[in-house]
Amino acid sequence: MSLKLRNISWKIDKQWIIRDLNIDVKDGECLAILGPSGCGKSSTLRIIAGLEKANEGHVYIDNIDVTNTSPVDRKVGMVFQSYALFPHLSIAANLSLGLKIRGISRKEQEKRVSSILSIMQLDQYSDRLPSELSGGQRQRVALARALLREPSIYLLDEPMSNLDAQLREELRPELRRLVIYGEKPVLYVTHDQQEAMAMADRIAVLKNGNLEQIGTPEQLYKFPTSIFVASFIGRPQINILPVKKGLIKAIRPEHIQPKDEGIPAKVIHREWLGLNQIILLESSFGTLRMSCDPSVEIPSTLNIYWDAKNEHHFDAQTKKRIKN
Amino acid sequence: MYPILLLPALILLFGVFGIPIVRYIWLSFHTSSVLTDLLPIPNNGANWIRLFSDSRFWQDAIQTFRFAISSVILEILIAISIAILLNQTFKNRGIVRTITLLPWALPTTIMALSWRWIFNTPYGPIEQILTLFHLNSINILSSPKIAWFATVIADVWKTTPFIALIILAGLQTIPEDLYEAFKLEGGNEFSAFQKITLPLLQPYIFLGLLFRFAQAFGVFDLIQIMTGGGPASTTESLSLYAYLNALRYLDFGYSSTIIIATFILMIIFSLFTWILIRQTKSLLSIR
Amino acid sequence: MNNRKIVKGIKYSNFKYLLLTLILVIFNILGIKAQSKKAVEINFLMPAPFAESTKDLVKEFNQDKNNKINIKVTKGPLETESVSDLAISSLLLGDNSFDVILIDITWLPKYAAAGWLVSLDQFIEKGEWESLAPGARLGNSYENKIYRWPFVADMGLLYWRSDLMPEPPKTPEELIDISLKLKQAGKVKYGYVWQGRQYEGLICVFLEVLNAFGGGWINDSNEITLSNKKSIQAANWLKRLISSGVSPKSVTNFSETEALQAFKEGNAALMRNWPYAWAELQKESSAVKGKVSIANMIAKNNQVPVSTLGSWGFSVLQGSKNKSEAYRAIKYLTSTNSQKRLFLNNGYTPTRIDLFKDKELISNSPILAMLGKALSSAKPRPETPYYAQISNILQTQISAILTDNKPIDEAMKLAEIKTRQIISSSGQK
Repeated sequence: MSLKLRNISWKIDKQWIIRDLNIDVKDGECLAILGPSGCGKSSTLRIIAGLEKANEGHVYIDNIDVTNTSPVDRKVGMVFQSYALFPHLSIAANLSLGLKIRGISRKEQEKRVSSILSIMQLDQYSDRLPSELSGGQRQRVALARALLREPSIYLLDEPMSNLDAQLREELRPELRRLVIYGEKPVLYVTHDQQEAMAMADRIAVLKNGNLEQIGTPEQLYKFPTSIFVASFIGRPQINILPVKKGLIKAIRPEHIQPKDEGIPAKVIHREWLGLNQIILLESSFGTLRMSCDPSVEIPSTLNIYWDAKNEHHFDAQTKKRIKN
Repeated sequence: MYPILLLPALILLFGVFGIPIVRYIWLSFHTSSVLTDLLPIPNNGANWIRLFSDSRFWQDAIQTFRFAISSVILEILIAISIAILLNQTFKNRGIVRTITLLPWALPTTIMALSWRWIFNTPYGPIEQILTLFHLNSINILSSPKIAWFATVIADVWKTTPFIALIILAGLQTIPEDLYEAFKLEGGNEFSAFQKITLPLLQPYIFLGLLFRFAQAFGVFDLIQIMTGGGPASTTESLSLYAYLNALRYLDFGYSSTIIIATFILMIIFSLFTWILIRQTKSLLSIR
Repeated sequence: MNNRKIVKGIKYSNFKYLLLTLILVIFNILGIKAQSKKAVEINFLMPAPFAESTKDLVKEFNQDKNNKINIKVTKGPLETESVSDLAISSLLLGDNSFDVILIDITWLPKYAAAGWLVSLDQFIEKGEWESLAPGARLGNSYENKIYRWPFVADMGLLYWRSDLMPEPPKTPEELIDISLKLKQAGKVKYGYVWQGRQYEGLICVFLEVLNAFGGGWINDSNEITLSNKKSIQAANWLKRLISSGVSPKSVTNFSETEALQAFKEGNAALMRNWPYAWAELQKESSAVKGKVSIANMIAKNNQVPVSTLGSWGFSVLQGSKNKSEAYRAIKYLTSTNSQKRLFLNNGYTPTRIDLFKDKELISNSPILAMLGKALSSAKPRPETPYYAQISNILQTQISAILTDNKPIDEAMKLAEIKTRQIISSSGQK
């Protein structure tokens, strides 16, 4: 166990941002912290880094209690959402600054910086200012800085949110290669469920500062413990059916199929996406999303069907999963 | 793209700055005083020859430099501290920021009168405090050695808020996470100020520096009201000397010469500052 | 208000009424025009205090339709030099908005040389000039032409505390003795207060001291005598006032206001000031009310005491379109009656000789006789268009002497050289 959060609570004024959070991350494991904005995911990262101090609870890195340790001594490699590169320093100077502060010899500084630059394929940019680099290059510099730190743990705060979709796709393998497949635990904060599923070994879903569910992407997808998780994971979004006798049923769009003797429904909108097509339907269950094979011809009215074993059942009161 | 669109602005600029400057240059080569019934008569550069041997002009030039440099340096130092203070989050920050700006909003004449009163001997508050502690009176405004510094204090009091505002704007452009990243790398607060705040504030500091230097170099009203140039003309500025020549002595030719000479001195010094800025800039940013 | 009713009223009103109103309006406009054609407007520029004090006189004059002149007063700034700046700026711009300007005695040669003033000789009738007190006749001419009619006479006076000394000091030595004795006895904080700030007031003080020692600035044959023995003695004495403790060190930043304040609070035994201070000292707020007298300036035994003449007078500007009317308006404001009222109400020293013998005034004022005496011994400052320059040179050097910035000999020598440069480069007096 390389990172342990025990009963972490944190508040601003009288507002609790994080309530009683317990998370374990193993060496070499990547945990994504997923949630809507304001759920406390960035705060969790900042508490681990030591930039904020929790009101209650303890942080352990490599089984050492670092709750009262200064940020620098925690040895965290952090990548900020904005990258936080020093705009007045060249790329090389940005990278060597930390080494210099920590008293590493000039020769060693140069060696390490040039080695990381070549790993990152940034050699030819070492004399440029951050403003002269593209977004993707800047992100790589930020990553390089974190790597140079030789940290006990990586903390990535929305590392891709400032990049466009295509660049994100391109950078994922690189990020995985450099950081995530390493031996250190990685915490990856994101609000993008797809990115979380793509990058992480496990995902922790946070809601209003509480841990809603933690598990592998598959666990979260197949067995969401609450309506919140069910809705947050999986696109197109899961269909929540009307309450019946204190029970809420939900069905994923891909589990709905056209079938002759089924529930009658009317098509109100369709999106043909190549890989699949998403049909928005009006039925006695209200509006439903259906995802099906792109080659199927969908008439404007049809009957639909789903297998009851694919349904997720939740308690209407607690919004929590009921075993079925 | 369409350079012609700049024409109105250029014409306006020429009208407001160019014409008076050209006119003053022209007049500086003429005698225009009561001797000539105020008509400009060419004098083959006699004004300029007189200027070079006019010890009062050079004394005033030194005094004006002394005033401008001292006040601008003090202002920048104090303004940085004030701006950092105002950049913290605290209760009623908006109100405090507004109050800090007040001296700047006050008309110079009014504040100069107030400072003249503050430094008044024996009735002003400073003298009163000295008497209270049975200390010797220091006659601030009538001591040739320190009166000039009293005018610097008044100027600093009035214009520091202006620079503080520029620097505060600069501080607000520095993202908080730079400091956090720096902290994670092991930097302390002092080195953060040195390595992040100062270099990133540089353009704002230099902007304030140039602005204020040009303004302080042309100081007139403050001096005219606080000391009238005295005692023993030790606080007289070049503008005051130009004004005396024009409106008191009706010697417009020589007054124009002083104005143009002041202008040239100011440009030389600004260029010098600018070169200095470029030097320090390359020193501070490790590229 | 019920708007609809009004609209209705107009709508249904007889057309005749409308026409009648129109005719009335036209007649009104014509009427006003006709009236204004009759009265000539004469615009005066005066420093604010003078504009205030002449308000009633101007009002009465304008109400008398027989005058056919309408005096308009433009109130200038409070500070006198600022009035000059305003006037000069307006004259340089060729602005003809003023007909008459109230000017200080020291501005006259400069204004006259610049060609801005109208010679009054053409208007002055025989014997008129002689109605002025001899002292008041000085300082109104430039190159033998009269350019200004004196309005208020002003001269340096020695104010002394009649409760502290039986007689005022007459010589420089007496002044120091009396002051030091009173100071040592703890009767007063300071002995003598005067105007020591670097400004025109310092020159007025210094000129009186120069005369007291028989020294001089520029004599009639255009010689500069600032560094002769007697002039240096004078400067030495002025400096000794401070070094011996007769005057406070802070006197080097005193103008009239500060001196008056110190004297008024009872802190000083003697004060050099202008006649206006008298009225201030008679106010209830004054700690020395009823304990003050005025005297002539001090002088060495073999010298005649001299007061610096500082007077205000009216000049007609070249740009005026109604010069003779302007002169008439000036004559009204400087008439016996006007000056009498201004003396009684504002303490303005008259310029007309008859008023110094006026029974009503004498019975009303204990100082009128003394003012007349001082005026007769008053002397104007050098009458040259370069006065401002040479005054500035002397101010700087005297200020340097008083504030220990330069040795006396060196400063006086420098003042003399620089003054000579100015005068000789002008090639004229």
